[in-house]
Amino acid sequence: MSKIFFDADVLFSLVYSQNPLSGAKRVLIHGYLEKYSFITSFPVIEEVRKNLSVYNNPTYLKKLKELLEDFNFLIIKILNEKLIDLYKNVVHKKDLHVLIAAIQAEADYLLTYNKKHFLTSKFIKFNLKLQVMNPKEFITKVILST
Amino acid sequence: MTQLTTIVQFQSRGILNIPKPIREIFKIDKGTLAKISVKDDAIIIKPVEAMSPFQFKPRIFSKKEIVRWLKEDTLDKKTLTKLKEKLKKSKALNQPIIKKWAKD
Repeated sequence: MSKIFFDADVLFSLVYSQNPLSGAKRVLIHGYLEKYSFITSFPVIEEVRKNLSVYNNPTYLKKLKELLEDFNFLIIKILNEKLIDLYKNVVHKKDLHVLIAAIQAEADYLLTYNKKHFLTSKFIKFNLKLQVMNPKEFITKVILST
Repeated sequence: MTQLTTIVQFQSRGILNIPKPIREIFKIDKGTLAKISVKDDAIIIKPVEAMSPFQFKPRIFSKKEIVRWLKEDTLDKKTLTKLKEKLKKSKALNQPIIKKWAKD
């Protein structure tokens, strides 16, 4: 079973966007049907929660909670210190927790709208199985190719 | 480092109350994560934030980046049609979760 890690920007959009053409939402639906596992991390959820709180709209937080529960998200709570040490220079410090959680969870895909933050030359050298893409690419390259 | 020793009693299922002065020193609140390990004859409890080699600070997203994400997330109609056909073929539209999240 393949695993998809959701970065904060994608989770935020899933809750905030009302767009019927949302790619992230289709990843959830089709990923669920094709039995993908969904993963995120505690710091990512905290960031999403903090940003949704800005809008003072309780339905956003409710939707986030429902989304995590309905799609049975695995939440990485504690980051592996050895991995942090190994990958500390691969991405910017502020994105490191996302990369570590995704690697730790053995995710196959990391969904983000900030691919450039992760696809550094150092990241590529590691030749990881983790593929970094945005939801739209995931749909065209993965969902619609099967 | 402050020396502080106190005796507490374990409750059922190993629940232990950390005395308030210690909670204050380590900024332990409801939800704070801790790493528990055993060393010789001692149990070591370390709040995760305190041992984390990097401090995570959630940042506030700018309007500009949110607009960019939403734009980047928008599918073209052709792709959406293909997805809808795939969904119809899978006969999954009656599953409660799919019904709930695929409303539009």
